Amino acid sequence: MSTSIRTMLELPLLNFFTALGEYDRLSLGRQSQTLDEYLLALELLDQGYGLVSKEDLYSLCKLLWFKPYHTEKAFRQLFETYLAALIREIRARQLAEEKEPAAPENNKEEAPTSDDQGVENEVKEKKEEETENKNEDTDQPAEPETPEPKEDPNDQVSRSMQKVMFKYELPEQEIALQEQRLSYQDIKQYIYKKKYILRGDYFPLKSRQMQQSFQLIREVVQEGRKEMIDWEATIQQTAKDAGFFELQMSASSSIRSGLTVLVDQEGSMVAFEELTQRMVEALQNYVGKKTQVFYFQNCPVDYLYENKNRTKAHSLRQFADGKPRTIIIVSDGGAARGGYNPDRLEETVDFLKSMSKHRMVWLNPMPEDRWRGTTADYIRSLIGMYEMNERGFVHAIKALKHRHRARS
Amino acid sequence: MTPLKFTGEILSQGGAKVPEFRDEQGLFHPAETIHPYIPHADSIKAVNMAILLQRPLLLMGEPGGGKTRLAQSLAYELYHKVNEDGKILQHYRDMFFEWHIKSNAKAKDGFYELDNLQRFHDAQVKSDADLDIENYIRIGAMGKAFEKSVSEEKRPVLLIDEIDKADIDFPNDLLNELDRGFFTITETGRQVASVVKPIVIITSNQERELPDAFLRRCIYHYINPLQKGQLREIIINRYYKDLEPDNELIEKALTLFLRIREDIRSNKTAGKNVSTSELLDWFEALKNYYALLDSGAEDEPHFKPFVNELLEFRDGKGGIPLQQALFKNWETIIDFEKRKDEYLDQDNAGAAAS
Repeated sequence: MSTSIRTMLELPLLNFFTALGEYDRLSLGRQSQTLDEYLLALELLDQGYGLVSKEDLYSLCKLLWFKPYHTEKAFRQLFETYLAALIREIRARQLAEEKEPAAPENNKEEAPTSDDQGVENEVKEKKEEETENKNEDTDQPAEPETPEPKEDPNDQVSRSMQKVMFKYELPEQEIALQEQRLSYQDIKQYIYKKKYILRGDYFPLKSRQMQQSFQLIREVVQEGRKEMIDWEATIQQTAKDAGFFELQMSASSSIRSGLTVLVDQEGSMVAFEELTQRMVEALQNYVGKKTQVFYFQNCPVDYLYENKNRTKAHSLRQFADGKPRTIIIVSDGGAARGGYNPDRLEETVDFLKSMSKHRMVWLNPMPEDRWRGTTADYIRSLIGMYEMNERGFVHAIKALKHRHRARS
Repeated sequence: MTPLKFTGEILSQGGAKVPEFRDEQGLFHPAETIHPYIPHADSIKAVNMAILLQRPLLLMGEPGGGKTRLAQSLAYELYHKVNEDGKILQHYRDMFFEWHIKSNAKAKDGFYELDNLQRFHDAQVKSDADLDIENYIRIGAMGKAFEKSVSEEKRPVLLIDEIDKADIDFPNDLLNELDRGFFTITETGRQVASVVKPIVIITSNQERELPDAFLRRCIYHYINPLQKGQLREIIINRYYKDLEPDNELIEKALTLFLRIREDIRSNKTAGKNVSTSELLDWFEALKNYYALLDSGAEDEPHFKPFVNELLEFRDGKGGIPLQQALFKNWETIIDFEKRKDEYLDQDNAGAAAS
């Protein structure tokens, strides 16, 4: 049924699908698409879904490919970019065909059931691509015994279809770019013409990636009342006691990460505020609200603060002497401003020394090649310092997982 | 062989009363009243797509937006069969399995549980007990749905409610079994399998993000809050089944409700947004108290505190009557109390304009 439109949609749909995947990967940091979903869409098109109108096609795509992390706006935009032109073209051609009286009328006479007519009427009202579909419908079964005058319009249709298909296979400009060397000016022009989505959140690290890494440091802890029967232990115990039976109970297990994050605020860190904020959010959303976040400026001295405005203070000594924690420090370590600051280094050394019982890593939002010669370069020799990008983050989390103590 | 198709029509005309039911495992379902449910066209489409593709349907939306009701009305429409005399041929609960997720849920709970304790008890106390493990296996909701799913026309509805409550690994643990439509009872090696995959509806309140691999396998549908026309239809079908609807009250209540919803959505006011289910509670309260207004029960102690705000509301003087039924948290009440005058002004302006 309606093979032609399906064929025409195939490539633009693939383009749309690929673009969506690209969008997921680049701006959302996800990669969950597989070709299955695209094939599924084709399968549904084969069964006649999504062919009634543009909205119908859109809702089909949306049902299959729209995920909770997408925004409707972006999804719609991509859909329009890749499919609107084609649909417009199909529609225009149909309108042109409708004006030619011969072909559609023939079809109507041949239409076997009133059902089909109903469909066609509905479609005409919507002025969408379905008329085309209809043409093909009657075309396929009738082909062996087609009366001669009918072949002409169909031929026309398939020819124009090929044209459209070809057009969508490779946009002309891209062919041009591929085949010949263009001047810098041309390429620049081409790039400017292309549509980009400019968003404020192209970070080196996507919140999704952070969440996935955080998953690594979850610990399963047994807490609460002992209310589960531990069958394994019971059997062991019974065997030990020569058949004397005693139930062994255990507490149910739950998951805890026990992470503490210390965030450097203000001064040179202003530039990274959005990024650190995101990290804190990702952590709280994913690992749990219990994750503790403390703020400081430049280096923690005497106090850590519970809020950004640094009004709720916590004694650093108490914190350092308290229960052992798993700590991520987020700070540029003086690398953003550059230069070597002996006072800052001294403060940091004192701080790190006082924290020797805790597991710690340091995430630096500055790129690694900018650390050289700055205070951060020295701090680096005291504690595992990682750049705050995807790779660095994963390494930092792994280091936290394996190392039991930070070097001090 | 006709594939299953959901139209959403059966429950949209009016509710239904369903008698009590005891299923094959002896589980008792009390008699229930099913209220009218009017699904959005997109929801119907999504459900049918999920049925066709044999993929789980993941529903998200505001709490109280009708996610769970959609699953129920699907099962009711497909499988509740009554003959002319009102005798039940098939109870929909027979083909509808609910699995309400708790925070400590494990994927295995939905498959089966092995009642070790009972077996142990029997071994100690009953001398003639048959201690075959098979007797102590309790098949879970998902397992039952698998067992019941025997052909294209007989695919039970399995509702996995509020999947986001469970641990993050939970959805991934389910994936494999959902995909293949069978699982194995490790203790006995028996396989519980479905011939055709059941219709799986999963709801989530977005308290936690779901894993990508899980999302990929689902048809995702967000239930948008209903618009005025549909809300009116629901109210009329639910509260004025055979009565003349009080159009003035409905109009007033809906206008106010939609405005509140818009205000909360656009973050003018803090707190949880009001949803369809709250509207219905609120409207029921309004309607009942409205009836009391005319009956001269003003001095009744339980009614007295509300008389003034109801009279004001009836005269179009603004303010939100019976907030207790509509708002669920303190911030929202305070916020609207502060902005009472604003509502008053705009209502008057609106009245003048019209």
